[in-house]
Amino acid sequence: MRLEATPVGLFLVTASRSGTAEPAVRTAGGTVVLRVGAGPGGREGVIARLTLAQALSLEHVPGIGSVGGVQMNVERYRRTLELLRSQAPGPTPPSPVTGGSNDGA
Amino acid sequence: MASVGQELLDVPLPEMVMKLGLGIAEAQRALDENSVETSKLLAETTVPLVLAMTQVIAADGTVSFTQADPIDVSLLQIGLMPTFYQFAEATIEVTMDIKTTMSRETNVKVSAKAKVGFSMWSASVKTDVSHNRKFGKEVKGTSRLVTRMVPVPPPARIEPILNVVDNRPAPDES
Repeated sequence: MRLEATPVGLFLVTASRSGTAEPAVRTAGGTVVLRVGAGPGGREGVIARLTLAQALSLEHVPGIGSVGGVQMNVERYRRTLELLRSQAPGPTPPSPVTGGSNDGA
Repeated sequence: MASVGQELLDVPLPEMVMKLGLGIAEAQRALDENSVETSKLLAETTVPLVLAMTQVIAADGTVSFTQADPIDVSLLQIGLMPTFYQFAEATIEVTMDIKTTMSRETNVKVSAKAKVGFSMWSASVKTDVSHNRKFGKEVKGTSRLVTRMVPVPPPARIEPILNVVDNRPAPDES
């Protein structure tokens, strides 16, 4: 089987047990962008930038539990933040400073 | 000997198409299962989200920061969605190289023999003829399966809809 060149995408890579997925991702040529504790058992996982070929090769690496493609829905992220901010108690976001200047002039 | 046309007709194309279709269906199911498993992991994995920070600059110029308590939200909630893939195209290429040869070989062997003695003589001529016909056929076939897989948007209902029910008492208008 031969894979054509594929663009880089985001993948959620989790470790199978107590290990960490990060070294395997780096060895495969990927870039780790976020470390997470994935799953109910708190297994370590990472969100990594990989090509499809690199992701498929990771599936057979010992210590890797799962590899799955993910994508960021920026609009949903923005809507969720707006909603949570409108509902959450606590400090309010700082208001823009008026009548002053931060440029030292 | 089967003709070249018959050889081409003997290619099990329907069987190949059927197996390709079943293979794609099985691969599609595995891909979908992987995407569903990824969805579950994204839903079970939480990250602390700090919604607001406040920077306070005191009169003496010292700067301090306070932040709201982090809220645990799942990766799915903040917009990380599983990628779903779909087979968009499948192609079967069959290449056959058929080579037929035929050769004919004829061998003729003639020998003569004569003998004389006691007022008698005898002579004989012996001829051996042999014919050989050889048929040869060489068939080479290769097949190539090409599939194209593309990412597709996740199903519309996989995104959890966040409904908020706020039961806090309304602030006084005074």
